[in-house]
Amino acid sequence: MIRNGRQRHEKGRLIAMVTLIAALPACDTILDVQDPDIIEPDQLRTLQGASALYNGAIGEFALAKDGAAGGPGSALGLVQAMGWFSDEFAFGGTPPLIRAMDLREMDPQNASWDQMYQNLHVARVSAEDAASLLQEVSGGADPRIGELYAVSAAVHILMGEAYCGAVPFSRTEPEIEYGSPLSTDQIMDRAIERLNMADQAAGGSARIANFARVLRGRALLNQGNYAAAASAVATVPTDFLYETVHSTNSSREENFMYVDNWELDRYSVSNNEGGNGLDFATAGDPRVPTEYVGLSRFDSETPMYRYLKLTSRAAPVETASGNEARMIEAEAQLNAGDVAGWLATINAARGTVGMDPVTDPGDQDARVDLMFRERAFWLFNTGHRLGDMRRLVRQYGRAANTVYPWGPYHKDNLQRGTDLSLVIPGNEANNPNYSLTDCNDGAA
Amino acid sequence: MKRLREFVFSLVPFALAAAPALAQTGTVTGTVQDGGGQPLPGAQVAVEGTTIGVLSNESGRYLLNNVPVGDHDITVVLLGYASVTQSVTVETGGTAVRDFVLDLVALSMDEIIVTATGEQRRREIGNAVAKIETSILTEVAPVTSFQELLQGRASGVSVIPSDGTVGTGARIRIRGISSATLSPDPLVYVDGIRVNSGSPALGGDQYIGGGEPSFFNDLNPEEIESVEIVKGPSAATLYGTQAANGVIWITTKRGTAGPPRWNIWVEQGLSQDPAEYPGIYYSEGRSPDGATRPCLPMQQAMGQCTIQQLHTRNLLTEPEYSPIKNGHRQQFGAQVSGGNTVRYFVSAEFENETGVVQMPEISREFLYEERGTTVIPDRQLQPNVLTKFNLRTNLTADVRDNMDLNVSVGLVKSDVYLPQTGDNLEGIYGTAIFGTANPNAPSPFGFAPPDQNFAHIVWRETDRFINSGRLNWRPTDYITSHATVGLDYTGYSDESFNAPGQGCAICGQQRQGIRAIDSFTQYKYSVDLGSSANFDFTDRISSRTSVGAQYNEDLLEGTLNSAAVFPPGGQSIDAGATKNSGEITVETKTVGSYIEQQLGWNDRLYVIGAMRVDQNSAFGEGYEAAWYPKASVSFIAVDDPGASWISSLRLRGAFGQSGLQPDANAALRYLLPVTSSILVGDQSASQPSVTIGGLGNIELRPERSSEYEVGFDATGLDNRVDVQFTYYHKSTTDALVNRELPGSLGATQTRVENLGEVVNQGVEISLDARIIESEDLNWSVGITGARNSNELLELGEGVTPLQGFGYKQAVGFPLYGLWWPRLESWEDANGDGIIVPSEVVVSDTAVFNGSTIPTQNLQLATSLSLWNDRVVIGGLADYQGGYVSHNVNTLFQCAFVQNCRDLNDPSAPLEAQARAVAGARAFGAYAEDASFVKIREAHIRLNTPSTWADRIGARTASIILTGRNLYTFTNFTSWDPEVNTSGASTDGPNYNFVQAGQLRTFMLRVNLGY
Repeated sequence: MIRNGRQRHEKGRLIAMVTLIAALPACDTILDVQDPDIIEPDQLRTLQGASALYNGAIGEFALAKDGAAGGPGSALGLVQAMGWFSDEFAFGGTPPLIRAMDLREMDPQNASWDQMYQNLHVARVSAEDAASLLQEVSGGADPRIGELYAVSAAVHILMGEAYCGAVPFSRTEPEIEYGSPLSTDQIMDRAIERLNMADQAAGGSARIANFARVLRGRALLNQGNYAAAASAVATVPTDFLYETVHSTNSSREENFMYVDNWELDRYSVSNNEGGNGLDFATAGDPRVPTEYVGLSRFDSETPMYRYLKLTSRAAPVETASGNEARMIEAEAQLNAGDVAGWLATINAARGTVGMDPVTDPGDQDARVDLMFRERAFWLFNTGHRLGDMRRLVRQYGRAANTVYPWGPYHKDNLQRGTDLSLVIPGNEANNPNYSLTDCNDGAA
Repeated sequence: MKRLREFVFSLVPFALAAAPALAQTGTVTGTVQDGGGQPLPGAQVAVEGTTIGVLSNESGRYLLNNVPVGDHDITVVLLGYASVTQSVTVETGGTAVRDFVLDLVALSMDEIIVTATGEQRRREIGNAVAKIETSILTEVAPVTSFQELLQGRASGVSVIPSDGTVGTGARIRIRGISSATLSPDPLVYVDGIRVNSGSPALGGDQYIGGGEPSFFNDLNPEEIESVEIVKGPSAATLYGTQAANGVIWITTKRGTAGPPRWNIWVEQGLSQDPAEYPGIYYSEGRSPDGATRPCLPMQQAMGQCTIQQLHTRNLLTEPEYSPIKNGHRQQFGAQVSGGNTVRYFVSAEFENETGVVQMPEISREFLYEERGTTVIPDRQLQPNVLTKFNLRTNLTADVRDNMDLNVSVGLVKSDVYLPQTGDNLEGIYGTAIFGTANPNAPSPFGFAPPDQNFAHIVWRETDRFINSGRLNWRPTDYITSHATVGLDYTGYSDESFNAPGQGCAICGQQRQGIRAIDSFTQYKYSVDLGSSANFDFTDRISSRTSVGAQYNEDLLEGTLNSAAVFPPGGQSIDAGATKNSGEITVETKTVGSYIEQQLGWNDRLYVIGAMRVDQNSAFGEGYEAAWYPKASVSFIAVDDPGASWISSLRLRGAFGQSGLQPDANAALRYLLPVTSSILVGDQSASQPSVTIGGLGNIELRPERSSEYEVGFDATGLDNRVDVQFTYYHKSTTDALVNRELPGSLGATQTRVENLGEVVNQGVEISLDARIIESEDLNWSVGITGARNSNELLELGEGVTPLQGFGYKQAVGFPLYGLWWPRLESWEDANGDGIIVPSEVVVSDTAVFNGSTIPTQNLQLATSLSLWNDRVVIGGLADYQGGYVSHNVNTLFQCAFVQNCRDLNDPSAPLEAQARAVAGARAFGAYAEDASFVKIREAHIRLNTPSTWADRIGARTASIILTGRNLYTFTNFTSWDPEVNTSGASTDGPNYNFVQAGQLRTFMLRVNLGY
């Protein structure tokens, strides 16, 4: 009887064991997991959620333009890259994949620039998505909608000025739609479409309206439509300023250009770079205040000039300004043959910072040189100079080797490359409507 | 889930049908000895056809209770010896005696292998399984880490160290790399539960330039009984999702019945850096205007300057400047084992090791003056220190006649301080070899000088508990069941501190003071239930049916905190003027079950078929469950222990599938919370915001690897030679690929998709030969070798190759190969003995330079035993070949700092000059054959006579002298081809850049047994 009882117990345990084996994987909820680190898109379909999207889009724009020291998407910003590529900044570091930008010898397979390119598109898409949601939850009464469309336009303009004239614009919502390469002109048209939407949604905000006006003027200038450009910015006050702002609250919000110039010695304000470059570092111009601090501590050979307007990791960076509006007007005057008006506009602007007036250099080429020099110093470190160099080649017929830094590089026994615009990164080849051969970075 | 549930419930009646009735019993007892009459403890003694078995104790005795009455075969199995079977008749209540004598043999068909379903004899399974008897290895030659224990011990298993920094780990790759995106790390089990074996990188303020500690090395080799390596899906199917890269099964030591037996050891060691570091050169000259300037021979050749003098020095060998000294290592440990109904094994060990890096004398002198004190913190003077304490208690209790309970409790507490090396402005080696030999330079160091970079202290503190309980239950003679539950808890904290006013001046805010604490807790829960029913259909045909289910949960929680800009004296995060914080949570769960059916014929032919099904929290919503089939066959063609030519020959083949799960959130579309600076009024303020986190993929499913292998095991020449050969072919489909998205989408850079196909194939061979066997002299040689080829076959239509710094996942090439533009040709056209840029030709685009993972390896181990094991001498040579290492040390010296000999010394060989000149544009010029032969180990063990041990009251005493990494033969032109700056956590990018090579260590150890 004892043995029989034990047998029954053993069988009972065995059944329990096998039942447990069977039950374990059969429990549907056992695989549920929680991740507090993420937010599902549906959680944002409120005004508060739309505000978070708005904040995110503005933050993405600052990140894409000015870079960030850390956090999701952190990378160098386009302004710094354009500075290296043009004659604004010299590379004081050693990583060769980044040096390629200063050398103007970009390989689309160089992944170092993927994130920057993507960040620009993220800023564009985020701005338009946030605008749509704000429109939906606010009924269209929120002036931030206008700002978001203007931000999208700004991204278009920056990309049109920086990248070879074949930039695609795709999107993932409501479903993936791959864009085809657009020329610089077409990109400016897209920017203007968004500025039209910005105008409609500015909600009476002068700041947003002026931001859109300067951007419109800039886009039209890129199209060679000087008179319309001047007209677009005519009402923008000279003291107007639209900046991307930064903070030390998180590394993603920090101004990475400050870090690279002041802390890491990776970029220096340039001086007559490659022969054709302007004397930004030594001109003593109050618009580009600099300080020489010796050789870069990074590569031990590049002379380091700090840019004194970058005062901290929280320093703002100018995106659009009244000074830019005045320069647009001046260029329109010059192109219209109004030399006296052109000179007056330039000198009025110079006067606002206590600079002596300039005189007419006498011939049109020299006037153009002066015009672009004035623009270069007013708009230093804002992502305008590369677009201007391209315009000098494209609109004013200058030879590239008289505009861009050319010839021997300042270190490593290298010669500069011949790229005239930024190359579209190789990962764009995953776009079925795009071929890397669409991008001719040797053309302005 | 419905299909899964139906399948599992269908197993229930199947298993129950095998349950027979219980019977009357008797006892079998006896001894197990070797040919010399010495007792053999730890031998497995089992009653064939039943689940009854025990281990012999320290005296070699065994006792089998509750053996059913009748005729039985008793089989004794012990690794390294040929198994022996004797018949016995058991009567009701009676005791039968059988004594066993075992003969040495390296490869036993009846060796017990732990499989997912339980223990099986080697002859039954159709796969190659490497079994490393670690308890024997550590007894003969102590090791410095667990990963070192595996180095060169099993064919097809590569242990790839990152660098020689004390406390850093290695990558373990079994049969190559199969995944283009996911971790190629194998699954690791300790006593039946999954454990953490990762090597999380140190980032942010804790960045050290490459190399990171591996949790693998938390395990104490002294606590390990054996390690079994299941090499791929053909064998690992039943371990489920995540087993595609193989399984490492670790069994810790258990108590053996008897009185307490103590082992005590003391070890002292010395480590050296064997590297021959390059010097730095400065060619001083004058420009045409007479100004002093650097003037390279090629610049002189181009008419730019005239050379005046060549200066050279080597900061890593000049005593005053060199940060490289000798390191020290010590270890103290004790173990006790014994018991009866409850058997115990308790082990405790303390280990302390300092690396070879120390603050140079010149920097100390500088800091005495700069800081106004001669007190410099210890961790600035000596930044590389490992302190580790291991404690383990294993208990085995006979709960009932047919039930035993094993409880394993392991504790690890370690602190490792890591120096700044590698790809790092603060790198200790970089600051020296990228410095200048210009005698007029204010400082000879490059980047941050040592007085600055030694100020940045980085460390990882780890507290770890590996706890498991396993209940073995034999409800009948025919059925064994087990239930294992366990938790591997890892709490670790990555920390750094740099006092204000000290440290690197070109590293952001570092010199203003930084403090960072990133704390993580990682939980790995395991539940494993299984049951096997053995049934003989006839005398010739046997059957074994197994069912099981597993649940695994991995949870990582972390908080990240850092602060910068401190007041003088500030040390805590509170003191920082700017603060950053964050949080991370990653959780995945897997549940699965299996059924396996084995059929045997005449103990010579075994056929196994099995199916595994898994569901995982990371699979996409549109994917239900993963099904993995398995089949194997094992045929004993020859089984004649007395034959002199071939005494045994086993032919085997197996097929199986396994998978790897996607990352936890890869299937989800989600946003990440961040903050953004927004203009509010006229002030900037941080505001809550979101950024895109993941695009999601609802169809995401596991990466699936299918593998077949065929091979044979043979023993011959009077049982003196054992040979194993295996060919395998592993195809990974639905490979999870971080597909690059076109940036214009404005989404994420990549999205995980099931796209690619990867194939790995290769051969593995091992040979063990006992060349001389006598009482006074035994000499054995073991050779293992493997060859692997790896290729990405597909990457999806229209998908461009995935790439990173110097690597590319391109169709038709190995994963993580080295891709850079390379030097195509050169010619000293004008015959002036100087190569100038116009005399080199480089490729325009990146080209494939070679595999970065060794594709061939060969190990030779030998052991010579004299005077009845009184003296044992042995060694291990390790060849790794068929791969390239990117010598960025010389590349950087030549192409960027321009202080290498090849660029400065006109007498440098022309080919070296050409590489130096081309390097700036063609990094592939420094992709070098990294093949090497390394003398990994040499040891001598003296076992003292028992009379000597008696004098100190000991039962046994031995002294061991071991040397490791004694010499490297290689054509690689930098200091150690094994260095990989990417560290232990990843296969790409793979480059060799200013990190310590493997250290040469000498250890003297005394073992005492009581």
